[in-house]
Amino acid sequence: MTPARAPGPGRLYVLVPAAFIALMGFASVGLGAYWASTAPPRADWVAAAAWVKARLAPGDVVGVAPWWADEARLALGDGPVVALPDLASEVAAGGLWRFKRLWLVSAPALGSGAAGVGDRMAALRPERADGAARFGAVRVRLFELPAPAVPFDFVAGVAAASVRVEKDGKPWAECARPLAGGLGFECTPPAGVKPVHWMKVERDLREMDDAPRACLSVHPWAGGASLVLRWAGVPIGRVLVLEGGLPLAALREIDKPAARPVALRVLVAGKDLGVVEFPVAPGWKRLRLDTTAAAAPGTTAEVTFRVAAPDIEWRFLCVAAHLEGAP
Amino acid sequence: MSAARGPAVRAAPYLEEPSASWREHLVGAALAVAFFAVLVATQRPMGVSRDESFYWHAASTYEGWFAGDDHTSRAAVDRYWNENHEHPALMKSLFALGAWLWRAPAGAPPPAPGSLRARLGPELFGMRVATMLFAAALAWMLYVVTARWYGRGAALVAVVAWTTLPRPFMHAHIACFDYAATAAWFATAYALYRAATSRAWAAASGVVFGFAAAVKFNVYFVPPTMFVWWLCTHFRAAPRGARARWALWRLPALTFASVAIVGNLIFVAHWPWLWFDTVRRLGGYLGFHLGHEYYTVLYLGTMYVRPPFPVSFPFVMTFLTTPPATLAAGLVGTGMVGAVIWRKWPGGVLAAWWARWRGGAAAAAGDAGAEARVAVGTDTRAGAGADAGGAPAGAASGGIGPGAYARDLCVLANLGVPILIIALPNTPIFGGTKHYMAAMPYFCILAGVAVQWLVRAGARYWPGLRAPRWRAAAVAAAAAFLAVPAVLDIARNYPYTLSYYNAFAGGNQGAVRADMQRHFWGYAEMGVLGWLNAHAAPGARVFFHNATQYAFMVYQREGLLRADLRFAATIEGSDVALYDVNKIFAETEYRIWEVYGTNAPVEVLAVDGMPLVDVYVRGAPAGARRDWAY
Repeated sequence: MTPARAPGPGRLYVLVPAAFIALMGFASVGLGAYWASTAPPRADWVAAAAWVKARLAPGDVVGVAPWWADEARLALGDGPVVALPDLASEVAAGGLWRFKRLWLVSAPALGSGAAGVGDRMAALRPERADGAARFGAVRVRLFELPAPAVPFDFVAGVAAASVRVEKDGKPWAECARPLAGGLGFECTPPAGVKPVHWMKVERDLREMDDAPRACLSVHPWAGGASLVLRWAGVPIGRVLVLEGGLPLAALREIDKPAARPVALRVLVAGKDLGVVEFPVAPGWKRLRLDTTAAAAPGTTAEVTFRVAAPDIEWRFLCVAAHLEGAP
Repeated sequence: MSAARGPAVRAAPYLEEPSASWREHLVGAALAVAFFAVLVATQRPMGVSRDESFYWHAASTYEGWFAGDDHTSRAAVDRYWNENHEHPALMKSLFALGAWLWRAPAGAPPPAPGSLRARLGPELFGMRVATMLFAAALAWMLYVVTARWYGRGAALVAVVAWTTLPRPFMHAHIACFDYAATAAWFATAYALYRAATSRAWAAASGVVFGFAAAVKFNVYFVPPTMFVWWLCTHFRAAPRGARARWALWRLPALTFASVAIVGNLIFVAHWPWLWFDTVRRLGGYLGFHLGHEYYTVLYLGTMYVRPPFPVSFPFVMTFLTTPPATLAAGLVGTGMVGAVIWRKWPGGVLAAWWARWRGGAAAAAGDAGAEARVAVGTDTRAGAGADAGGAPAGAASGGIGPGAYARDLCVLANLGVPILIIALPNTPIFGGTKHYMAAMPYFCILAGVAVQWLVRAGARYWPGLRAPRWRAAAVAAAAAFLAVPAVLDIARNYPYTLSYYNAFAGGNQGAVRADMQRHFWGYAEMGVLGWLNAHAAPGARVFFHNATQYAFMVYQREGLLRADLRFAATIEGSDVALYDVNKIFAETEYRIWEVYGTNAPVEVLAVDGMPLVDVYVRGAPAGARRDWAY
């Protein structure tokens, strides 16, 4: 007689979970060792950085990929170094307009797009064969950048601006007290208005769209007033590139995500080029405004920015602008 | 014969005879001592977190009250206990006691190099001993309770899995509350569990709760959890007649009265701050925690600054910060026990309702309903017929007994509740995984259940496992199998295990790639103290970023940081700046570039390529402007 078999789970009910646990254990050890091995040794970064620095020319910038490889910045030392999550897109959008060439120093094995950024760059810009090298796990490539002619940079030229607050088309408050180092101007509020720390226009460096952006920090005024920045005798190009947004630090404090945007009106030689709205949302807005209809390239003209918003709490608009295009 | 195929394995055969003999206590104590020794040996390089520095300062302040003569006047209480009054006093008092006991007397010569005091540090170790003792106590409790509930094999695996979780491993060292709060949660839940069947435990549960509440606020969630557990395990049993009803209700009535009265009396009594203006101060304490401010947290590429916070947070974080083998075992155990619970109730009840609703299956419905009633009813022993097996004979009518359903539901409830609290969209989710750490011992219990069950079930097919000693060896081997990858992970990240992400996250680099928060407590600055000691100019002012001035003071008092270095509260007022690499702090780094006139760190502390702390040294004169590429 065949003895009765005790009830119990089938073999698979035992094998599958056991295999699952075993697989996870082995994968943990194997993958853990693999991930740890993908970090380039410091010597690789140092060798690559030394090679690049020996060839660095004025107008060059070094891009680090992935953006979080601080070992690369450590090795490269002080200088024109950018570490951006999406370097190729930034180049495509014209974000590196200050520079003529880009040295790409990357560790492809680290991920975060570091493996593909070189090829994306190669699809966008001409690559120089004399700028390619490999140092262990670190790769170096060199690309030409568009380097447009820039007749005027409004951020760098903030000291040349005249700033005031206007209400109903009339001057309401003056912002004439220069900040130390020519970094901007402090405003004197009209009688009866309490001075507040944001009553100024200041050159600043803010985190915008995961990147450090040099910009003018401008804060709108309450009661329908407009903050007006004027530059007289600006050498005009063909395009005014306007960039801006609200820094994350300010967005954290704004408790109404649906709040109304900050508006910036641009006038060139008195002609209205339109209003650009900066929503209460993360991001770095970039527009190209044709200035040829307002003023001929190569001439000089007055350029005015008028900043206003219906709600002003924490509306620290970070705005940058420059003119592009030779006459 | 069935014996020829090995021991019978039933639907839920992970149960073993409940026991908590002196052997269990002995093994539990041995594990606790071993864990304590490991903690002592590894505590010195652990950085001082923000909270630890606050508690260090508070404990030092309270020490003045203990050392003074006036302990009862309001002036004395307010003077000392106003400090950090958003948290109860027990742990900070124990920190103070530990420091007082460990600290060398004033005027004593410095410890000889190589001596124990020199190796462990002059004071901070004393502060941290209380947490390490709680950690050891939790290991002990975890072993004994798991052995009692599920058997020694499961208990061994549970303790191994728990003590090798990298993030809790860090918490087990430091003079903070989170690990002790986990132990307090575990002890309270167990006391309330036992209180369902024991008058002594019912009375004592208030004492346990009182001391647990004196550890941290979190434990207030335990009584509601266990009350719901009690309802789930008793309410179907509601007997007829006043006497019978009283028999059913008297133990929970005694338990929760003890919790409410004795527990809260102990809580108030232990905390001098509450001795005056009690109602207002108690209200302030509760108000602080119920209306806790929100901190920014980076999670999968999004910076959350206010509700709604992602419900997935504790689940994804558990998935990414638990060593994979432990995670797998815990998931298998949770699935097994969860399936058993579901089949008993509400699955059985739902099946019965469904059958009734469909009609024509009255017999089946009746059977299923009967099963469900048994499962949740008076006689938890009845579950033994199908899947309990662990309930002592005689645990019938009126008392729940340590039956399978009650026990499994207790484990699942205490696993689920801490996680679900953090999953609520309005609960602040700062602090990584520490705020639902109380769930993890239960997860590890379930990992132990899974391993033990697999070994026992495997004996059906592999004759070598039929002998008890070989089964025990197999469980021990499995525990080692879980421990090895976890210990490797700890070793790879030590002493920054609070920033640990597992291989499925892609390791630490993967966490950066996924835009997850690397750290949150300003504790990693410890890793660049050596650089500061070697390179900072004499008398340099150091900006410590997310680490506090108290932490700076601790480092100096511990001899870990040069005494001539000075703390700088601002970047502008500093010569050297530390930057806690973290996307949520990016503008701090940009400010350093601007003020220092350089964008290049001079040192980077990284773990497996994941930068944690950058060091900057002032370069160009202040005010000199540079274009930072943008």
